[in-house]
Amino acid sequence: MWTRKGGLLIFLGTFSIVMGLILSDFQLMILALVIFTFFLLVLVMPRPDIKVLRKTTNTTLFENDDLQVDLKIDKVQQGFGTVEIFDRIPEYAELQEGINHMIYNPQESQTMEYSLQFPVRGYYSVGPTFARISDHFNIFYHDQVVHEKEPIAIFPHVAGLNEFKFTSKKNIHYPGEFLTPQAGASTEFYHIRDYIKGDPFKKINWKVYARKRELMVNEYEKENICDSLVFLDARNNTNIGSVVKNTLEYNVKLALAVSNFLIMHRNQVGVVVYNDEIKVLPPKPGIRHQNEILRLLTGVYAKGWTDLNIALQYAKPFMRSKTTLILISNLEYDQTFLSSVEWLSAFGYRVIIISPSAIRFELNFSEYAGPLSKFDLFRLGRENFIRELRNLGASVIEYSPEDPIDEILELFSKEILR
Amino acid sequence: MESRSRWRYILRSTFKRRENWAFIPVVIMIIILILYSLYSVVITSPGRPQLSAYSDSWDDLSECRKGIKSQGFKISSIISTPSILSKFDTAEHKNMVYMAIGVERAYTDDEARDLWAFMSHGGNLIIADDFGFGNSLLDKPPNACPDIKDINFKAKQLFDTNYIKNPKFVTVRAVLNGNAYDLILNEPAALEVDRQYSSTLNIEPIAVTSENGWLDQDGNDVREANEMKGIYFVILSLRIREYGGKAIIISDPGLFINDNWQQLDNSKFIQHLLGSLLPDGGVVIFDESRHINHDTFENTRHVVYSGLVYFTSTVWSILLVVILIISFTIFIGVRLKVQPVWKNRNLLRARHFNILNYPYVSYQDYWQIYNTFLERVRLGYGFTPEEFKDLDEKTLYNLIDDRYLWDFITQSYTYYNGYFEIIIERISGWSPKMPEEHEHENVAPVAVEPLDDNDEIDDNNDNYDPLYYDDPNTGTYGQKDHEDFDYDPDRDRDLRRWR
Repeated sequence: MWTRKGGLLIFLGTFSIVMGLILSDFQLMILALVIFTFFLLVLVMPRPDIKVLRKTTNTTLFENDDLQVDLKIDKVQQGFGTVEIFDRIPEYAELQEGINHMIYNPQESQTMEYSLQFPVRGYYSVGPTFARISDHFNIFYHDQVVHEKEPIAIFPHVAGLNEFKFTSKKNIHYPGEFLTPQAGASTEFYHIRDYIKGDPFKKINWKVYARKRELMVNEYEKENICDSLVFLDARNNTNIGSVVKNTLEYNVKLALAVSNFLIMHRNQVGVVVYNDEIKVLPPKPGIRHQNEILRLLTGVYAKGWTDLNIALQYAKPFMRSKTTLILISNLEYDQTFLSSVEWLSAFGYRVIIISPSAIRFELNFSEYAGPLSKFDLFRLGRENFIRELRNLGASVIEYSPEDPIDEILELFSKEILR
Repeated sequence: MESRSRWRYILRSTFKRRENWAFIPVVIMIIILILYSLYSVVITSPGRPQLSAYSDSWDDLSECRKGIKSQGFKISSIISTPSILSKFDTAEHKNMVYMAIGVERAYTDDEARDLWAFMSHGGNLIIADDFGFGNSLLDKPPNACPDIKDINFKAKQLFDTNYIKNPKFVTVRAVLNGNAYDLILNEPAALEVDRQYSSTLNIEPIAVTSENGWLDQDGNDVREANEMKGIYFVILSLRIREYGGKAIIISDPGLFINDNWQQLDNSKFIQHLLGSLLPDGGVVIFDESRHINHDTFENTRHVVYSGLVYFTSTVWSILLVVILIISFTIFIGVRLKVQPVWKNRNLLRARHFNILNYPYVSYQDYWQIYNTFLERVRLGYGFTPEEFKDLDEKTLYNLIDDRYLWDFITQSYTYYNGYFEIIIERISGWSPKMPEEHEHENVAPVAVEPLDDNDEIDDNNDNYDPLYYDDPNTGTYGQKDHEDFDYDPDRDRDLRRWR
């Protein structure tokens, strides 16, 4: 490529030729000759050549982890000119230490070091590394890729759910088990209590009776085996708020936390993500499946306008009769949402809805301090909608951007237990 | 060997970069230009420059130019190509004389065509040549008169017994419009006419040699037996039928040179000749492009200017030039992109909003507020949409239990600023009336009295405002209390709105 300086000079040379011819002026012709000779000399000057080797500490990280990048630059061919090295970094990465740009001295090998932090989950790439090789006079320059890009996966943080009490109202007998400290009808002993009139005789602990002369009955843990399907709304309207604090990021973290918890308790969890397409991970147990969910949710971006009804039709083969459906959605711009929930309730599915208030997210981000009548109008409409959903038998948990993820999950667990 | 590999490396590294390809045509053009100029100087015309209208040497034409100018004619010159004459308005051609004194560079087909066209429009030609390329014009006759081909410059030196000082300075007598002029020539040639009669061409001799004229065929300056004596044409006037102009063919450019200008009647003859060609005055154009300039710079200039004239002569060539210029500009524009500045990004970009662009409600939001409120009422009391639709007016009034909101959904007003904000505030504070709760808390219902069928409303005030009052007695204005309202079941209601 030519630089602006090069363009200016060639214009000057051409202008000198033309004016020299018109004015019959030898001096202008000589000036043009000098300029073009200079150009040709610069053109044939050999340029330096380099090779670059990049090393990164890790290619899979969690949000806000540091990534150290080292680039070692060596010369291959010495020439006349300067070399700039630039390592492209992702848009949402923040430089913590060092800098991703340097002027290379072709006389010796040098190292460029910097560290990055990724505040948002996603699949990124570091690089490619560019070298801009220009002559000493900066007349021409040439950009070339000296190292290819390197993929980096940034996983979302998994919120802890130790106190999360999640139960199924209907027992399903699966190979997996779901242990909860509730009295029920499994084979695992839970505790012993006084006999109450009506307890079956076969539950009476006769050994204790012999020892204490009181009728006591054994109680066993209740088995809550749960087959769940998490529907994550990742359509275009979820892109509300700042880059770090937006409804989609919250929804992804919640979906991950819920599915992670369920899998840790040996349940089968499926995930359905719908945006411009529908991605379905069928319900499965196990750590490997947990990793698959993690990878799926890492690459979720807000796009498209697929509605819930289509997603449900698509995921129908994976929905057993007693499956618990967890819908994580903004409850906006979906005409089919209400009818879909109505349909699910009619078929006996348990529906739990987790919904962020997109208006609050927007308000929180914009820091708007004027009259809020329109915000209030939207809020009223949303309240109506949620009330309608509750009337249909769905459990709805609302949250706003001020709420930490842990608190939202606690609200969720309370809603479930209610 | 080492230097060869070095050059190979330099060339390879140079042309490996595609941006340098732009220089290839430029370099080729420069090389061609220089070679052509050198060829013109060194190969084709080894000698010193002559016959220039702007030089003062003895064999140049500056005196002639000045003499013509003093006669009142405008002087102009061509340094590119005679084709440029076609650029002038054809109506102007009859006031022009084209003078090519010494044809050292041959005429191309296009140039000859344009010159004959110039003559057809009334332009006049004076072609003076001896041993040059004058025949290159006569050999390319116009379609209207192919007979011109039979007139030739005989490129042999002409001698005569009439001369001054030296046999090479031949003198001839010219007769123009009945006036006789003695002319001195400088190593002249002769004109040969092979045709006795032509239906399209009128040939009129102006100057001829004496009967003792002869052509030196072998160039030894001595008359041999085979070199016949006779009368030879020196100056001819040609007129083509239906052509407005005239062509004067002269077999010696030495007639015009500075050294001969004041000799005998040379100047008078030339001035008389031009006076007869341009009786009303006009422009005399010296063609400098026919001379080989022994100057590389001048020759380069001639090549460039000729190219400019050539490439702007026809529509197709102009189109070609325009396409080439556009292509080159695009090429340069693409290659010469602005050097991007590499920035280190460490700021996060904000995502866009898509819900609210304007945070205020207006009358355009009326129906949204209306539906939101009725939906709130319906859900508050747990009605299905069908049940809610079947409610009668009084029941709905009792359920809503708020006169402001009731008026909002049933009556239409000219809404003032801030009205909708107040309504939304009231809707936000609205909750369904629960009789059992009131009973339990022993609190009277907040609602207005339930309506009876016999209730009548007497309110015909056109300035009725549901939320504000204007008391003429006290002169106060403000928001009404709830109790200030009287229910009017018939007034301005449009219950179809909520059905």
